[in-house]
Amino acid sequence: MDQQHVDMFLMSYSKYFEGYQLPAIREKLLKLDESKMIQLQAISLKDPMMMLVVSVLVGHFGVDRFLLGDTGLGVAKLLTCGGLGIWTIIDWFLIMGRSREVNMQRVAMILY
Amino acid sequence: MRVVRFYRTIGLLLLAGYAWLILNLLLDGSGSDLPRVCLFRDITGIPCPSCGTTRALMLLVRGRVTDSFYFNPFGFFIAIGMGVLPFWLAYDWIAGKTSFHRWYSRTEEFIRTSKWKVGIAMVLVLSNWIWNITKGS
Repeated sequence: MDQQHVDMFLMSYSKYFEGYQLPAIREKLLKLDESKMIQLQAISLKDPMMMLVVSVLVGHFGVDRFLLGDTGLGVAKLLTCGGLGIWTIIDWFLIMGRSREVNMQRVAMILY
Repeated sequence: MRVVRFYRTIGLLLLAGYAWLILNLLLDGSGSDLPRVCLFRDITGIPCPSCGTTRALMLLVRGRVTDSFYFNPFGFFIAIGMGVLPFWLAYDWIAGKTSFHRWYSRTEEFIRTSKWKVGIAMVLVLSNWIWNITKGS
């Protein structure tokens, strides 16, 4: 991929990954084949800030976990009143990190 | 999610679940109530889909299955989980296997790929919620 595209991608998605991951992503993207570009654009990345909003509003029902693909934990959260309300609050602090982790996993499937 | 962290999370959830249940069973009838823990109910005044699960579990422990179902059918799912998981986790731990983690990943994948089954589950959860609200539990 050419540098302009890579920088564009990183600029729009820099908040979606951990800061320390960005140099590695950039390096991999520069070496990436053009044909994988469509694949890269097709994956759905979760906005950590949006996930925080979801977590605060409906995290009690495990919706935040469902959206990130942690279905099992989502069900557990739903069945236990959001983990007796405590897990709901803990997830307000964890969910942004988890979103970035999930985003990295999804991108890594194409990059590596 | 890495395997060790996964087992730690499930173990922690189980411990918390048992601690909560035992605490409730011990304090039941003693006059001193535990604080209500449902954030949703505290804020909105409406019971959430899983309100009443603790009472349902307590009734299940005492063998009152019909009353337990009336309080919240979710109690059955939790009871199955709390009954089976300690043994499964202990087996994996002793035998050094990851059979529960594999089963869990497969089930998650299965749920993700079968949309209409998720739809049915959602309808069930919603109807249970409506029932919960009408009961005012």
